Amino acid sequence: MNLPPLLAFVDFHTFLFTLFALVACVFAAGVVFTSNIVRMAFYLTVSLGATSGLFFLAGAEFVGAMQLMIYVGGTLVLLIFGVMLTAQDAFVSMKTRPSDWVLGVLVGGSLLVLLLFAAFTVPSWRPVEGWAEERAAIVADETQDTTRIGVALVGGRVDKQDESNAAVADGLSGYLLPFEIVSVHLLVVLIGAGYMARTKRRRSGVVPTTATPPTSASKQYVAVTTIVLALLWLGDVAGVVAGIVFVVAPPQALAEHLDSFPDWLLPVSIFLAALRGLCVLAIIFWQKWGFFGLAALSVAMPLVLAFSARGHEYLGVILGVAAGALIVNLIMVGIVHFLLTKVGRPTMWSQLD
Amino acid sequence: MAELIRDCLNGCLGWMLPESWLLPMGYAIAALIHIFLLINVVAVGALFFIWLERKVSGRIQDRLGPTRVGGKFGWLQTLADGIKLITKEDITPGAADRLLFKIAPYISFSASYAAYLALPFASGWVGQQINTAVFFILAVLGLEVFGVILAGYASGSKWSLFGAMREAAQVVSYEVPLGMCVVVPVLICGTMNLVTIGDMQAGWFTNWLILNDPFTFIIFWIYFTCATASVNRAPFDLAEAESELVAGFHTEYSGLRWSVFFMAEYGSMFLVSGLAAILFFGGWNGPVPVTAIIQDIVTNRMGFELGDSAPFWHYMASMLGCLNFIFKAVVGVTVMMWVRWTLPRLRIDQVMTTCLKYCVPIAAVCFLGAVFYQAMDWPTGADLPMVGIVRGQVREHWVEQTREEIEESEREAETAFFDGRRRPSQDAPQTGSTDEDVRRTKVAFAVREGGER
Repeated sequence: MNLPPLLAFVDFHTFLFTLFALVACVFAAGVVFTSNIVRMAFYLTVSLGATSGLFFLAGAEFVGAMQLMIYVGGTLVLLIFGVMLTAQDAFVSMKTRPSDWVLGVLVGGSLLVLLLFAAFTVPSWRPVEGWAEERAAIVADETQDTTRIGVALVGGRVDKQDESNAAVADGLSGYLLPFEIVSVHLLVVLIGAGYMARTKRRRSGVVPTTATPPTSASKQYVAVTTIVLALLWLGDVAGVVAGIVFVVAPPQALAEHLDSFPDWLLPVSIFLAALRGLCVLAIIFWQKWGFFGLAALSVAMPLVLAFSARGHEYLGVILGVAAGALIVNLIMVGIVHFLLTKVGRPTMWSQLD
Repeated sequence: MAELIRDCLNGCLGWMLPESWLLPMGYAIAALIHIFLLINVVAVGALFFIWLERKVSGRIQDRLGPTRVGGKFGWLQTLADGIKLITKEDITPGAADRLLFKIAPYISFSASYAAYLALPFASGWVGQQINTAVFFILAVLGLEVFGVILAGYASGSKWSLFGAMREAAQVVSYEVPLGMCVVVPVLICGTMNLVTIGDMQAGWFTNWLILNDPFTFIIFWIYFTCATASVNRAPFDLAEAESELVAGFHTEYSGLRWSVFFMAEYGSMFLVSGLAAILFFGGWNGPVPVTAIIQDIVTNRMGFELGDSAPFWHYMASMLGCLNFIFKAVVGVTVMMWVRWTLPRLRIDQVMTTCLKYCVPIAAVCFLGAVFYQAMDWPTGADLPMVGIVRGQVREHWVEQTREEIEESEREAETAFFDGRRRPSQDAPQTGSTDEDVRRTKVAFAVREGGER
């Protein structure tokens, strides 16, 4: 029988790619054309799920699972908290005005034109000769796993280890700094969300204020602040002790790493940590200058570390660590500042000498 | 498998099909076989578990449970239930959003079912071996709640909406400690591939990760609590609290659509129990390495050569492992039933307290503890001097295997013609290997982990 060799041109990747792409596009169009807001969220979920299917098809399993977790799961949360809790009627429907249509078509259309233009003109995105074999090799390569991503996030670029240019190699410090910044941002968002969502106590109304005398609340805050400060102090003391131990008897494993730093770094760090411990003690004993000293030293210590790393082999990594330490220190100072000035009536700040 | 089916097709239908059609058809049929097998796990599993639930709840409440349909133990009770459900009228309320109302049960079911794609039943017996299987399963399982929310919303009933909102709040909260618990075995094994995690626990039961250190022992219980909550089982079944919400999110459902929700629920129960079995209880490895011992006796002591029949015996060993795995997962499901019929339902604030004030801090502390334990390289259960394979050896074997694979791919890369596009380096040996970097990482791994064991 002479059937047309229809399937000869269709391999599974192409077929599935077309399928997923069609699903993604059709449901993306559905998001635009439906007026029911929950259906919109549903179509968006399907569209994003199909996109994750494209990632799986390309062998990027981690990215695909990420897409499912973050985008599809994120839409879910958006649906719950953004739509359902704010909706006034049972089935919210959105009427789009003609002016919105014009604006939307203009913005979306220009983005589409740009993307299409990019997709068909960027030379490295065009199929090169032998792409089919290369793709097959990539798909068959089972050593591709998430190790590289993990290593890159803690500061090593395993994909660029062959870099021979020393100047370029120094700059390839992985993604530790962006990772740290993103983590701290997320922490801030989490704390903020918790703060916004918590139940606020009523200050006025039928609740008699005599039930909780202000002095006891203030005592609680003082206790909390003292505990925080004591922890800070313990951290500093631990740092001083560890530093002295390193000076007296450097551990074998770390000795060579220590050698690559300037000699003054360790004594200066110990001195600064001791000074900071002193400042923390000063706050505990109601001295105002202790807080300023704490803030200044918290900024100074990472700067000293960053300064010491000039010309070091892993300059980028150390700078990333220093920046992370700086952010953490500032957060700690912020917490202390918050405790001192923002809680309790009267605030502890006004009681400091 | 696709190639095998292609050859079969070629043999019997080759005269009427063009050559180029055979391999795609082989792939399609292979995929269909996988789908068929997995959907049977969910469907037959649900049939069995519903019967089991009736029996277990009956026994706990001092009753007999079903006794008549299909013989002595009421084996066919679920089938009778199914027939009843099929013949029931499929009602859609007038106030409902028809499309979403009709589609919601299938969303729940397909999310639960899609997660089975990455769940191995024995070493290598998995729908699709994914590098990040743990992550994938968690991501997909989290989508099951989507169907519940849509069902609650689309029913146009306040009971349903209340149930759905409770479920949403609960699942979103419990994903946090669940994720932390799952990370601990991943961190001990150094991979997110479930097949590798299972294989690393081969040998005696002391290799099971739950006995690895005290923190994993604690964290298993947290995992089980959170998993029970995330699949919406009592005492966390706030979403269908019948005393206050009629039946929660499925108040308006009837007939077959209603039962699809329950297939999804039992499917997820089996799934999280199976995940627990792999992550903490050695997966398909029994407490005693029976097959390894038999193989040792037969080949080494008695001097038999397996020869051509080796694949058959490996298949039989995998079959035994599969039974082992299913047994463990069923035990997990049974414990969930036991808990359901023993503990009273929690209030919503108690649910949130359990999650945020107990599960999250304990999981976080145990996570840190497990990291510390690994970092200090303190003795683990796998170090106990028992006969058989210890995890260290398995791990080394695994690293060795990866190394071999990498070397092989390097050899392939030398001959591959797209090699010229890679930038050759000056200090690296001029093999032009694409995997040099990966190899370095892996070898560093091997040195760090293999050397210490």
